[in-house]
Amino acid sequence: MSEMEEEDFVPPLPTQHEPTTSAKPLLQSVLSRNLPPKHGNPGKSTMATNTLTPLLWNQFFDEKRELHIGEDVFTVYLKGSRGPIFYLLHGGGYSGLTWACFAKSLCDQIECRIVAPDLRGHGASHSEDEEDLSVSRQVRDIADIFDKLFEKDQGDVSVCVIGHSMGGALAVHVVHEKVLKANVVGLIVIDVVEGTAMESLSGMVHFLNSRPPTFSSYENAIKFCLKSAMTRNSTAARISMPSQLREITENQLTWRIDLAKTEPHWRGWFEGLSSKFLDCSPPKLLALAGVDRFDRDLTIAQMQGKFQTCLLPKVGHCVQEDSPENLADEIARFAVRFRFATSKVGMVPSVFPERRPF
Amino acid sequence: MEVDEPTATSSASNALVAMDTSEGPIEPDEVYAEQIEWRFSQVKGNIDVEDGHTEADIISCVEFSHDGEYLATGDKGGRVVIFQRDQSGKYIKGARSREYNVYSTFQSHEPEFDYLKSLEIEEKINQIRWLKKKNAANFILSTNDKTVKLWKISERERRMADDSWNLPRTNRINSAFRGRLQIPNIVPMELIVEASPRRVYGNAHTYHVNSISVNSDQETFLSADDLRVNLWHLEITNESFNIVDIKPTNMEELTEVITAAEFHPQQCNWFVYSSSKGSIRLCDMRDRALCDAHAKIYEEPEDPQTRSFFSEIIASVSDIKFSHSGRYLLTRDYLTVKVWDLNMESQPVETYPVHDYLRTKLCALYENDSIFDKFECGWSGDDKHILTGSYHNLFRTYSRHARGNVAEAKTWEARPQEPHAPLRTRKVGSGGKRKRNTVPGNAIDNGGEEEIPAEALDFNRKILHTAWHPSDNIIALAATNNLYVFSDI
Repeated sequence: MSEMEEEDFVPPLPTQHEPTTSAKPLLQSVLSRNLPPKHGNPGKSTMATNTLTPLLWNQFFDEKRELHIGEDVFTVYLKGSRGPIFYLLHGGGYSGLTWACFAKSLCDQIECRIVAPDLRGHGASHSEDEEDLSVSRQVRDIADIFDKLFEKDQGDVSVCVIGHSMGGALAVHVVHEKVLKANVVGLIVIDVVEGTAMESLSGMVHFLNSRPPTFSSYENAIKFCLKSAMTRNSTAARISMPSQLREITENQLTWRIDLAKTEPHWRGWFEGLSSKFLDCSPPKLLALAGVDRFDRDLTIAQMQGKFQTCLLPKVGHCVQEDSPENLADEIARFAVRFRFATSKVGMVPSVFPERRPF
Repeated sequence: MEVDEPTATSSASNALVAMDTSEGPIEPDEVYAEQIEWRFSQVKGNIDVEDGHTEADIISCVEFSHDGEYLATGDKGGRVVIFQRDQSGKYIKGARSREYNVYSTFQSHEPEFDYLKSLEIEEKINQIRWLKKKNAANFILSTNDKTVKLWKISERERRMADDSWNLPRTNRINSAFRGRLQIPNIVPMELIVEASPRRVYGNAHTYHVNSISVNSDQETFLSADDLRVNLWHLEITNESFNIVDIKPTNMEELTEVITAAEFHPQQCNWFVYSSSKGSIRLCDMRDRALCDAHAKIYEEPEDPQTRSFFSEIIASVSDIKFSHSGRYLLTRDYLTVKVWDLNMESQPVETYPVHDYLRTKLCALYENDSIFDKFECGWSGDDKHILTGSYHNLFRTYSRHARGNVAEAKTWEARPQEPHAPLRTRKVGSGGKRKRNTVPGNAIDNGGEEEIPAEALDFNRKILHTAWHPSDNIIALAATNNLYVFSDI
């Protein structure tokens, strides 16, 4: 019965405030006040299927490529063939598949290419040194992956870097140090703020220890994920959770990466993050799950209009899994507004069973 | 409060009150209205089904001018397209041509960004209202979520002849003009229609504007958002008066929002506004400056038998229209369309179901947000017929007092057809299978009413916006990105 509210850094706060995005009109929120909240992925949940079987990458992405860089093999998920590149960096413990639902939503709305790698020590990537998750090492990895994929474009591509949690910190470093040989047109950070992150580092070890060390099946792991509110969206859990685990034996699954061992690198990820973020020149967007997650520097900078924020209601820390459509909506609008992407033809609102909600 | 009554009054106490379509109020002097048989006239917009339409082409409002000569449409991309009735004077089937052709297109609103709140302001045109014609130019008010604009649409057909200028137009003249002055020659030119913004009424709404309505005095208008109604004078853009404010001090206690508002067609002091709870309030501006307290409230007590989880949502009124006579009010909620007599607040005098087969599907409709669709309704010019839209490109017209005092309703499908070809009537069944109503020897397309099963309804194609010509039986319907014009000839 212990409903463990999982948050990587900050315990969740009640998100029942007046929606600040124009996504849900006042009329709708007033009318649905007394009704139970809608499921995160209405199209799927109104169907009879209540199964929690794992989903495969090819239902969301076009290609799963393995890149050999030195002694390391990095797995990258790709989608789309034209348009600006969205370089999606996942958070600590996750994998490129955390972006699956989001990538699908985003490609429906704008013409773009998606690149979602599995970072060192995560998902299906295999590297010689899986414990060196320092900022410098990971920034180099990210740059190498990008070079390998787009070397023939000679730097003539636009890329928007998006990162969640640890990936968000890495995204800031990547853009700040200008390691990508491309035209960086946007930097989007999801739910990571230096001040609040640093404060919660001490609680992280305790939290990691309180997760079950093993699971007997993928379904059980997915069930745990949903019950502990790591993710509130069952489809996202079904595609993302399996990639966070690895098999020891046939009936034993454990976490892919022992995050506790990466502790020495945590401070390095977040130190100086706010100032580096504000220092970057491309247009910036900070997507947060709650307004209380701002620290002092960012609050001031936001009031000065140095970056755009968007608050997504009713999501936990893993925003791209909890509410992929809303996030895709926000980011598509950001991209169109800053004119580095064009929206796709035919955004048709949804209908029952099979089709996507608007 | 006296209401002008143009028709013979029935004894109010004996008036039968209708709760379904089988009986209407007794008005013995009413000649029964013929049920209208609609025929295809025109369709505007790309009707290629394969090609997905762009989001910006979705039509968001349709409005005829007061004389019916012009038809204005607004779309999600902030553009306004005005059509004009065929002016050539040709007659088709004994009546003046009912074709509408493009007259003017202009970009009314642009997308904006509110930097303070980090919110985008959509350029979608929420409503267009025509002013009555006072001179050669036409005026319309168009609004998006935040700003109302007054546009002047004028024609230019004559210009100065090139050789008739007295002074060269470009050079500055330093010396005095010598020579004979000639009166400039005016020559005809190709018709140009110009639209110019005359007034911009902005910065008055915190919430999204859902309606505008021009007063019968043609000098003032109101704009209504979710929580407030403001009164403007057409000439003054930097000042507006707030006449209704239902914002609670604590937003957490918000239970009701304003969904539509309209001025009375003849009485310049009355206006009505509808709420999300299904009540309509009539206010009199002579009574007090802030009309939070209503003069009349039109509310129907909920039928306890049909109460469900979604009763509150489907009770929300999406559109409200005064009848041309000014005596009746037409309101549209999700499943029904109701006619209210201004004199009777307790219940509507007529209630017509629109798509009752959806009553069992409310849960699924809530999940995909279709339950929040705002359908419009409209009167015919003589107030004898009612028009409203539904899903699957179906629309319904009701003739209020047809034969034997029984109202008749028909469901039609809007689709491209041969000009003057009659439209198909459709029926929607709750059954799972398609039923065929075949008459031996007739092909299905020749009027056999094929039933559409409710499961097969396409909820992506919906007719939200409709308009009826002020005097003729011509209707204009917006079906996503297409505009259909139907008439009875």
